[in-house]
Amino acid sequence: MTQETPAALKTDQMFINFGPQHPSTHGVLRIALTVEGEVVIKGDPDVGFLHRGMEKLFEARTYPQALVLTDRLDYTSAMHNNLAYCLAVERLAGIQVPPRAQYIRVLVAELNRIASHLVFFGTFGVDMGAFTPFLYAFREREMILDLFEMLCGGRLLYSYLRIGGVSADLPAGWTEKCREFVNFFKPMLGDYDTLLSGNPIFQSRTKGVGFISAEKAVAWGLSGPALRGSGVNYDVRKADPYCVYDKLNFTVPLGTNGDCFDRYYCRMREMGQSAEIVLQCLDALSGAEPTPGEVIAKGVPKMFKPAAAQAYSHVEASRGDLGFFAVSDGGLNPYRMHVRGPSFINVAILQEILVGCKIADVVAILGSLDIVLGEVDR
Amino acid sequence: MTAEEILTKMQASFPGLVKAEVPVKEYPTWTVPAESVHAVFERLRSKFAFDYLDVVTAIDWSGPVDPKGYQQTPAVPPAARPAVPATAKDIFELVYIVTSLSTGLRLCVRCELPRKEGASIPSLYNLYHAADWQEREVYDMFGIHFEGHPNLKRILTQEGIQGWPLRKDYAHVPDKFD
Repeated sequence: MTQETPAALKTDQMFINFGPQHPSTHGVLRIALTVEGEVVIKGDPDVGFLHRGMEKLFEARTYPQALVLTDRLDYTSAMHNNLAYCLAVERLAGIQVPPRAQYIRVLVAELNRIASHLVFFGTFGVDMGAFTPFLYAFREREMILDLFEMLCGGRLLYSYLRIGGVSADLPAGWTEKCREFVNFFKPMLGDYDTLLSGNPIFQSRTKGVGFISAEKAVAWGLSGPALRGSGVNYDVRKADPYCVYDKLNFTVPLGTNGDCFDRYYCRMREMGQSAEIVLQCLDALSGAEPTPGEVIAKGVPKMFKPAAAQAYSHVEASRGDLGFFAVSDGGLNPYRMHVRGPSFINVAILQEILVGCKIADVVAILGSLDIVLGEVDR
Repeated sequence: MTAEEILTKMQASFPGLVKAEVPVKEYPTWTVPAESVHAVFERLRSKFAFDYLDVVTAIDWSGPVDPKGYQQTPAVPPAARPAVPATAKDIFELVYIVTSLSTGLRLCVRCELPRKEGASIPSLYNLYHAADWQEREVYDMFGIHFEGHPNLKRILTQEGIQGWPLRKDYAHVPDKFD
């Protein structure tokens, strides 16, 4: 881009700190931008402002205690964090989860995916200058939070999933309320398309912007909608099924061009698929097969010592492939716990794709990756 | 092709490549000597389509878990703390998990390094860009150097921090935030 600028018009390079106190960074991300006129010639993401030493904190807590730390990773989809952690510890200690708890886990994880994607939908709209979708998104999200509040009392940080199952069975009347929500929500996706997806201003701000090729996406280890927006069909729910995903019927939406709009639209279509999964889980739970009341593995003590071993377990969280690598030395606490946060790995590609884009598009590209700084910095 | 067959084929060129004694549960797990890490991954990527690097992390095996330097929870009585575990060794262990998106195979590759200042291992950045920040994180937390990494500097911790936080012997030096 810089070569095309006529010498007479050549402007001086300017250094801009984008963040850490900028509403469009969705947290405390700083991008050190070097611009020449309107064009970015270097963008260097700088993270760590929210670093809490999570992996060290795990080592000082027993396995059940450490569960509450995982809520604070990606705080918009805490259910997925709980799930990935529980799966890793259960694999480490060889705990079998009752089938009813597995259905409930998938059910709440998919509801949480809808809630998390709604936050993305709302804030991405605000980033692009459309405020109204935000109000719609948060109205629907509030209903999901009400459902979660009925389950466990928490609205943001749940710790509802426990090692061995879930903390309590679905309360009376919950299933009906959940069905009511899904039936209300499914037609809303059409409204969202009318509100934002079809808007010509929104489309011109996102189509053809922030292009990521499939090869580049794989090389940088992107995951979740950021990877699938580039047309790479990789979803942990299909590729390495956990819980009961192999018994459920759903498709994985893919993009074609790998631009901001494709990543956005992947998430929108994923919400529809999640709603379908929720209905299938509700049907399975209303049958007699997964015994009601049996929602946690028997005989998991409050403090336990898994035999010395290593285990890795990952789930498809809202933002991508979230994994926990757990190492036990036979003690009460994890010897080592590593978190593979999808946001942390997704945000690294910014240093490559920001080069050459217009400064106004930085917000669109960053927004379309949908990162949560709690998970980037851990 | 199964992971077993790939291992047999690879062992012809890399005699140091063996199956790990303690595998990561439900993952085929290999150990390689540090000097052939880069070559092994190059072969895995080009010949066996392991194109997606999932995880790069490390373990400090120098236990015991001495709570010095960080708060031990009151729920764990001192007597319940593990004594020097049988696994304690003076080594760092690098852990890589790779996936092949086309065949769906997953693989864990581990590599031991002597535990000393300036321990180093070849960087995988030129094979997988996903290693960029993950290697920086390992450097930040353990002080392990990655040769050939284009931008190896601390990533998560604050400016001016002393020591390597995830090492088992890390003791916190009070700073302006305390």
